[in-house]
Amino acid sequence: MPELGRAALIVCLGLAVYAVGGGAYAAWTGRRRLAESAQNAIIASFAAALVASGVLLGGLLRHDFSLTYVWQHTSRELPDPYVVSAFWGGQEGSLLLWLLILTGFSSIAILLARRSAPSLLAWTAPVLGGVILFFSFLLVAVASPFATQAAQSDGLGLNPSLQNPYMLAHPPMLYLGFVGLTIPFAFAMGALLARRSDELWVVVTRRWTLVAWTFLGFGQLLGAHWAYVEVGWGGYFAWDPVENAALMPWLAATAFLHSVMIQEKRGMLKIWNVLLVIGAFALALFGTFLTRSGILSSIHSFTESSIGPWFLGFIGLVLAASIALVVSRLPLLRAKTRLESPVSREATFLYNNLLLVAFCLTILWGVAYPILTEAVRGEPVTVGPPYYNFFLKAFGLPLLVLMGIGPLIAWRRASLRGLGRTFAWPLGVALATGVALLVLGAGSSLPGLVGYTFCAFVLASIALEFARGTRARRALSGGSWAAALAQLVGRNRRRYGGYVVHAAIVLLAIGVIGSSAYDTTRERRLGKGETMAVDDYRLTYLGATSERAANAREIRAVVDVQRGGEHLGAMRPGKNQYFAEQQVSNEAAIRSDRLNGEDLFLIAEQIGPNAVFLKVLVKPLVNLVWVAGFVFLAGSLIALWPDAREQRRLALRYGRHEALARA
Amino acid sequence: MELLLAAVLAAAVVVFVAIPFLREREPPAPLEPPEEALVAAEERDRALAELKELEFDHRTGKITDEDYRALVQPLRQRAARTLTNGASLSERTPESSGEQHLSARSSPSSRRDL
Amino acid sequence: MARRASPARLVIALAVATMLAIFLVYTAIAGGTPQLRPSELKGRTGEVSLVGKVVGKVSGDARRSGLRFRLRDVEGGASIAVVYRGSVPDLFKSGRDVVLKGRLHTGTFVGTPNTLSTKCPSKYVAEKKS
Repeated sequence: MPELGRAALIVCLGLAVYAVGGGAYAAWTGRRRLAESAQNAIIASFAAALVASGVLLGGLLRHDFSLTYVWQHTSRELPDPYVVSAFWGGQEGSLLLWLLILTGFSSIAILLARRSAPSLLAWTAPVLGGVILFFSFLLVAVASPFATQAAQSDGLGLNPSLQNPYMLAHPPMLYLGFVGLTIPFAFAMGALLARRSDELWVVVTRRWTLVAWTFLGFGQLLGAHWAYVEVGWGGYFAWDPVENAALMPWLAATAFLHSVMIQEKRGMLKIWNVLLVIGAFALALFGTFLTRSGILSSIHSFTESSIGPWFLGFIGLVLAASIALVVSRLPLLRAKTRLESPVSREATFLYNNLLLVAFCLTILWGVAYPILTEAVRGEPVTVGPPYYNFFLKAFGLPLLVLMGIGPLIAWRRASLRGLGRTFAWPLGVALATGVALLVLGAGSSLPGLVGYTFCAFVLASIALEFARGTRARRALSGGSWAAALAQLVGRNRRRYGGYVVHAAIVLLAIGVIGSSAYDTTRERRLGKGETMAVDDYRLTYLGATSERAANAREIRAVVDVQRGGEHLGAMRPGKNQYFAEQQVSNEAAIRSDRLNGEDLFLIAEQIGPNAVFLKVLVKPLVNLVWVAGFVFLAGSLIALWPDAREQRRLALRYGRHEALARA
Repeated sequence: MELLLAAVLAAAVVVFVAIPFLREREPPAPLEPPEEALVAAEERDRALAELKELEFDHRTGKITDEDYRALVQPLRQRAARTLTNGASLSERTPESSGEQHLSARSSPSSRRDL
Repeated sequence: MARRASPARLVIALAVATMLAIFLVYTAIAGGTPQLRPSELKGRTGEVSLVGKVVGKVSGDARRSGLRFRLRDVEGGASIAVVYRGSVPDLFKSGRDVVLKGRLHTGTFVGTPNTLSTKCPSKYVAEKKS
């Protein structure tokens, strides 16, 4: 079977070469049949990638240990869902997943754009082909998933901490996000190559960007949740290069989603937008590279990876070529309108963009710092969470405020008088909340208090937007409040979906602030029968248990929990000792309070019959972080929902003559 | 067996890629509006959308009456301009722009009209 | 044709320049711990990150008087003595590659509490514990 897999990948590579060469020639000379043929080649490459993926999946499920990849990442006793997840558990497999999603998305994009944007598609296809070419080449020549070896009786197995449902969903979801950003990039380059000065590429790729961005955002939350419950050190984000790898393109994509609105409404910032979409795509590639080539903390680990240099080379090529293209098309991109006032919605969006890009660059700087210092000084210098957290506050707090200000300001120019009236209520709510929180003791952390106050401001302004809009709608067409609200949202899906997403971000911020600025940590050795007090919890060690499960020995410390005299039950933090993999995993115990969103987090070490070393964390409001994920999804869905009226209007704008000709 | 499957895949792929060439000649250019008309249409939609949003912002109280009065006139004028612009551009009827496409098709060095 | 440049461009350029300046200053002053191998440690004072492979016997208790082990360069060479208190990652054992912060004190590397973490080279996720 591996022969078929290898052959399919070679076919894919050949198709990609044809798509690039033939497609570019066709676009250059205006040969329509050749252009269509090149596009067909991309669709066919999806079929080839599908065959290759099928071969790998089959090999995994059949436990074919003559395939090196299967042997490296699975074992006979591994449950089937995790055997499937081993597809993307290693370098070669995850590259194949990238290729599969890339060719799949490209095919969908081509099929959709054939009707609505054929001349744009002519130049977009070769760009897509180029990216497909890179990944097929890697899979054929550098990192093949179909390497074979002498058949072994059993495999090496999967890291136990990867054997849980989150790891089934998290990597594919991130990949859907990373790959999804290729589509807007390709269309943007296609528009530049075709020397177009209209905005068809923005309209065509709007939903793609939103979908990719949503997958990337939700995927990261899944990863954070996995880190919280599985790795169990008490946190959910450690500013690891692998975590930063996904955050950076997401920030760039967030900036792009906003700035593209300015381009749409006011025709400004075209150059900025193109650069952002290039940046987002380059960061997605970089993110894949960071996750795949190991921890980028020193040059040594980097050169160990076979695909590292290729990835960096490709990223360099992409950046050089696309920036050269932008420079050559600069006259097309010059804006006809100017920023009229620093106090306007455009300006707010611009500040938002600057902050997002600044934060993204901060993270990039932090990730690259060890490499740079090693190249310059000879020894790598690393930066840790204090660096990132400082800038998270420095950029994140102003971003929060802007989320509240932006919707309340008008386009072009806002008068101070008007501002005073619109802001009065949200400011009042924010101040009242701040004072109330101060009284309740939130003054223990100044950034926390400020953050909470800003969150109140934003929530108030979002509520105000919904209220005012519903009232205006009701004044126009009557009916109940609920009907007016539904109509309001239905006619402005992107705006109000966006507001719901903002609300999600605020919930996320509240959860993050609560669990990092107002948390409590205590650790000590607890004897059997002894009690320790943390905040208003009282924890008593009752003893240890040891049970044999299918593939591990489960050792648990039984801890009794009381709060305010009320008995809350027993918690069982502990360790799992895995037989096959010879590894120990941490199994933290978490108790979530439904009412106040607080978590009691227990980590047990040195578990013995007479004593245990217990680390206790109390994390207020942390469950809001997970709730925010669902609100985020809901908001995105609202914004994504197809709007028949808008589709008709766009069809009319871009296909007008076609419609007239048919009439 | 594997080689057979690989051969089938390769053959299918080649056929699929060749399908457009099985037509005898180049299909006619898709009747898309010329660049200027597209840009003008976008301008027009933008101006109309701005007016609509101004109305909405005024109705929801974000813009005071005085600001509204100051802003609405120039916006209306701009919108009117873009409407006449767009109308004059689409006055170049489908037939005349169709001729443009035909002449473009016959010159293989034309890059833009596809 | 005289045309006033949009203030947007100026704002962007200034903002980018300011940001770069802030990063450079921050990392130059406050930022970063050098990451060294045991062979590079001689004579270094101040807090550093030490990367290496655990060799020999591991003794002691990280939660009491201190975990004692020896660390050498991943590639090989002489080892130095390390004493560490704090949380120990589950994957920690002799033969693993680890990183921890601390400073050299009379020939022994004294680890900063709760900074020990392991690197797991063959799987794509690093174990964290801090």
